[in-house]
Amino acid sequence: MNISVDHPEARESVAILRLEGDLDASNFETLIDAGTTAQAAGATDILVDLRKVPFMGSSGLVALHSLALSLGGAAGDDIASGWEAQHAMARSVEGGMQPHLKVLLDADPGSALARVMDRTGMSQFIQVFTDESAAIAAF
Amino acid sequence: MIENQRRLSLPAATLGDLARIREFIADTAVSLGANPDAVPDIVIAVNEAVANVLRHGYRGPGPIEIDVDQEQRTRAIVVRLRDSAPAFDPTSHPAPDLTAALEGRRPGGFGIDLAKKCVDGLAYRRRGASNELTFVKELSKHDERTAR
Repeated sequence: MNISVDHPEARESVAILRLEGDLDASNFETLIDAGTTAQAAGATDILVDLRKVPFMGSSGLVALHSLALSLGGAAGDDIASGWEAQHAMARSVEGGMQPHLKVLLDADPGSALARVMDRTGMSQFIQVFTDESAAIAAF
Repeated sequence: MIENQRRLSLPAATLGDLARIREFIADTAVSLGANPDAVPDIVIAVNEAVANVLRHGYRGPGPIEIDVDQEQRTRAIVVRLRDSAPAFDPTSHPAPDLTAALEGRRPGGFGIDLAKKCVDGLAYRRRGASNELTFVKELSKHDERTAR
């Protein structure tokens, strides 16, 4: 999986992480590292572009959740604990939508990524867009 | 009656093999007649189970064996995942508890819950020193959905 980072025009506080390739248990920490680096460089909001990610497992959700927590000022998930990170995700879903991290998916509601977001309830915690401009405007 | 069977054996699987495993599951399911709408669910379920075995069972590389069958009578795709990690029955695992207090929480999470939601049946048995997890995806449900 490759990740590139850019910013929308005149919105330096928003980082767009563009992923290409599968996001799974073998590489989800790469996404956490990229988001953490963007945050350290001044980003307060992150848009994760998953339109070129054919597959995302629950590990990808752990990465998204960890970044959302970090952007909200909380400690990120202890991913080494595995189970506990996923419990924390469950609690966050119950807590409702957070404002600092959003994702871009392709428009196919039956895609593997859309299924993963919906079936885990993460789309209640992380706002999903199919239009980049709309996603940026929502920050 | 089992009409077809394809097998993938990895003597020392790692997380880096997940992509290869997903490709095997998807290609085999399609070749056995699975509706394309059903394939992502099967792939997601097996991916989650294998990732759990490698991360929490073996905590490193370990042997994985996967059989994919089509049962002609029920028109179902059946995937059997075998590993040699310590005994663990994910089917008895509770869904993530959104309300439990910190001290009352038990291990469990989205991965297993996600796998359960993606298939029509999930069964576990311990066979000697191996765990065997069986996933069943009923193709007729997807055929009906697609025909509507």
